[in-house]
Amino acid sequence: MAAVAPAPLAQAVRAELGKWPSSLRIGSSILAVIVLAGIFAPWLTPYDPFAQDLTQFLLPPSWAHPFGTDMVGRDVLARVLYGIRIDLEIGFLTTYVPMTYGVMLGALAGYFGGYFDSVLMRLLDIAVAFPFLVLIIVIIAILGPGIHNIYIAVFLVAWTMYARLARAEMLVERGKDYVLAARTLGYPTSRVIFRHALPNIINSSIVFSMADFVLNILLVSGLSFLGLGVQPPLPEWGAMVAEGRDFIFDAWWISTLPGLAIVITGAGLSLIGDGLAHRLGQRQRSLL
Amino acid sequence: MPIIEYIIGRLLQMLPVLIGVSLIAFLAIHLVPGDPVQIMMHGRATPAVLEAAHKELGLDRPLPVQYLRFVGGAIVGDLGTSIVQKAPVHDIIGERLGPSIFLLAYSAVLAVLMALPLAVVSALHAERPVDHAIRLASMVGFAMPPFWVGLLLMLFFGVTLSWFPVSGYGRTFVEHLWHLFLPSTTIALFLAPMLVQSLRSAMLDVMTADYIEVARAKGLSRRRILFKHVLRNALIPVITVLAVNIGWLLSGAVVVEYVFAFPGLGSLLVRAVGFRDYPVIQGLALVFAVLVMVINLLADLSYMLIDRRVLRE
Amino acid sequence: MAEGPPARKPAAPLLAVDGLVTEFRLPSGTIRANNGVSLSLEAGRTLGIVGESGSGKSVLCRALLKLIPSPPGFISAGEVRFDGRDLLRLDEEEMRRIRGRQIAMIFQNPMSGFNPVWPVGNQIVEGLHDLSASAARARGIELMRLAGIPSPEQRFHEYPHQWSGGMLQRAMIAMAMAGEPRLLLADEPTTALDVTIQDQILALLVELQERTGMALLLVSHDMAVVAETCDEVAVMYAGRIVELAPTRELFEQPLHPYTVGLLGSLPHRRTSDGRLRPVRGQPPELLQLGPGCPFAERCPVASDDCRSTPVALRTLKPGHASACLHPERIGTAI
Repeated sequence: MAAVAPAPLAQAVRAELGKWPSSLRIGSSILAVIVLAGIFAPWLTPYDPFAQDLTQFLLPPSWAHPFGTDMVGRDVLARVLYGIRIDLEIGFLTTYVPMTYGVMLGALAGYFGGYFDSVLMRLLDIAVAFPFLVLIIVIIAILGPGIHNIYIAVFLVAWTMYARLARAEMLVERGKDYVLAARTLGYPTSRVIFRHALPNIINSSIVFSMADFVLNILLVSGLSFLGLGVQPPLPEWGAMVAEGRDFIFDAWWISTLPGLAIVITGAGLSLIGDGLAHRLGQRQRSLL
Repeated sequence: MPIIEYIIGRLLQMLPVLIGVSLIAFLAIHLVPGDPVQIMMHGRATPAVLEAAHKELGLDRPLPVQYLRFVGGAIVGDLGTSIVQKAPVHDIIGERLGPSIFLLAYSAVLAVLMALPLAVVSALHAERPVDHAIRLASMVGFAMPPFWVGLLLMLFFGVTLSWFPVSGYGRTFVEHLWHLFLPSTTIALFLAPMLVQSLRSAMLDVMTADYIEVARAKGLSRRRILFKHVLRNALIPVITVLAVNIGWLLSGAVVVEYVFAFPGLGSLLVRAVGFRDYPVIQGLALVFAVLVMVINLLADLSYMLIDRRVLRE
Repeated sequence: MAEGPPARKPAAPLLAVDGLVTEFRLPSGTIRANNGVSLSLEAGRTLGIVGESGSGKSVLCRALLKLIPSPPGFISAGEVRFDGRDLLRLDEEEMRRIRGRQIAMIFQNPMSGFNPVWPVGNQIVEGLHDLSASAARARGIELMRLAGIPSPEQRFHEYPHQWSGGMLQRAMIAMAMAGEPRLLLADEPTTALDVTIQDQILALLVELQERTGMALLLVSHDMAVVAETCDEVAVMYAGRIVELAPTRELFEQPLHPYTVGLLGSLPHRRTSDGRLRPVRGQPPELLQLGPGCPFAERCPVASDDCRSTPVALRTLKPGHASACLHPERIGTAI
């Protein structure tokens, strides 16, 4: 009898999924639905997120417009769906670009110590002395509002937390036997750091990055809400909340529903972070 | 006195950070692409006006001299003059500092009042349904944008129910509490989830400590063990978390102040950026950084009062 | 004084444990950390419990005070009769009144047994709610003096990190004595301490026992510690008592091969080449116990029936019980 053996990869995937805590499953499902909705936005709604229709303004939610229309007659659902692309892209880039070099710098500082480490630590001390948003706003005051300048501002500042995490982990890892063994075997230093130690120090940063992702979405939507970030008419969620602000008493849906999109996305990411903390054996560090 | 020595040591550690912070604040105006005065005046300044403004801001002098004047002024409380408001930055910031600190303290108290019972219930029933519900709620709360929460609270409690005022500051202490209830609740709702999570996990850590088992073997009541042993020890890591996140508390406050048109430092910052009022921006950057450092120092001091082992080092 | 088995005396003993089963229900299966433990102890006497780590000695102490973390731990069968009352039937509030006042416990690691944020003295008298602050302080100083802590007036307000391990163990003993307990459980009280301090702590325990007439249950993995202090010894293995006898008789005529192995580990009974001889093999996996004797796999005199027949503790001589099927082989084969 010919046994139909499952492919090894499928088997491995199934085994891994079996170990996922429920928070990780629920969180990834939420995020997957949101990502798919962003990708297939043009098929999910017949409306153009930028098309104004001044005969159809401030309509409450209905079958034709499930999320209602805004003050210039644009379909709010269409704008929320197209906003997924903007908010997730911004959140992703503002989290993982700084994480990449933050972890590297922290790992190097932790491994080598010395002058480089002291300079880095002083820089970190100065960076955390400013409230994050204030520092970003000051940089935007210098460079001017807009999404590109937000990227520059966040890239300048956001790596510090990852550098701190990676440095602390590397200090512990540096003294462990396997690193000493790799060193005595004469492996090149870069190999010891990046191939041997890095996989062991990255987990705390990965767990933290999920909370950071949420905070970055809040940050950028907050900046857009203040008029310093993504500029109208782009359908960024925070900017949409700001647009609806003056109409909140008459047309609650314009501000409320894009905000709800932020909450659901953020809750999904937080659930993933919580699940990853369990799965990767990290202590609950996602909010630290 | 080891406590005095400890405080002096911490103050000395703050010195290099202060220098770095002042450098960043100082450079803010010099890194502007183009002429800051032209940008402030929307390109309508005549050469004569430009020169006068440069002179007033001290931009015509060499950079090191400008920096020393900036720091020297900051030490004696002189932060320059706002071009837009034609008033000393020190006065503009000064009249808004008190309300902002009141708002922050109020928010922190509300956040602790919300978080403490939730964290205790969560930790005492770890991995049971009520714990899962509280943790899920705190994850949702963590993801709520403060500006959005502020708008909704304003709409619901301020307008629909008319329970609380939606703006202003009031004159007396009780009026402050009354007027600031909605903005403070907004900030507290942003901060409380972080507190719940960190206090819960700190309590779970402490509850496995040997001295808790010893306390139970002594026949102490659950209540006494919870308050005298678990909570007090769990506060130590939570204070650290709070201090690390103080920047987020202030960040949330900036946005919330703007939403509620609150006369504080945050709304001033947003307005100053809009007007490109660089002297005010510089002064605010400095004040915010000092605020963070002072709060961190206070956190360290309370840490020390709870756990004397810190003094040993 | 005749050394009779306490269980057969007409007067009820202070503590009588019968068939105690403590389980831990883990995802991987249920572990029986105490599997039918029975013993008894009279006021003024000392019972030693010895065994390797993982044999269930510490779990037994915690089970007697109902301090087993639950879940995953459950006391699923048996009886713990203390002064005529079955502790297992008491609710948490009644049990709380027993702890500290009737039965006190001292723990293995004094360094982590004190809350770092409170002064030591406060923790010693913390269980005495009914005293005023000054009376509690006076009592604390008296207890510290009793426990041999020098200049207690000054040390009362010091913090745990300022003390040595030996001093903290004295403080732990003072704390246990605060409630004037009738039974003291000592879980490896000297294991974490320097060898030179160990004897002082043991001497202190014996002295306090003589002075107060309390009963003492002394748990140790060290045969030498037990030999010095105890009237009777119970040997535990894989959650069961495998031998129970008066101390002297146990050392001179052990009737269980595991006891023989433990005695071989004693420093003064070295092999001819002068090396310490530990018991051969590893303690069994409690999740994978067969029906027979749990020691059979490591036993030099085991037969096939040892692996298949359940063995119970039986009295072989007056006051001397063993759970070995073939006690007659001991002494010849080992």
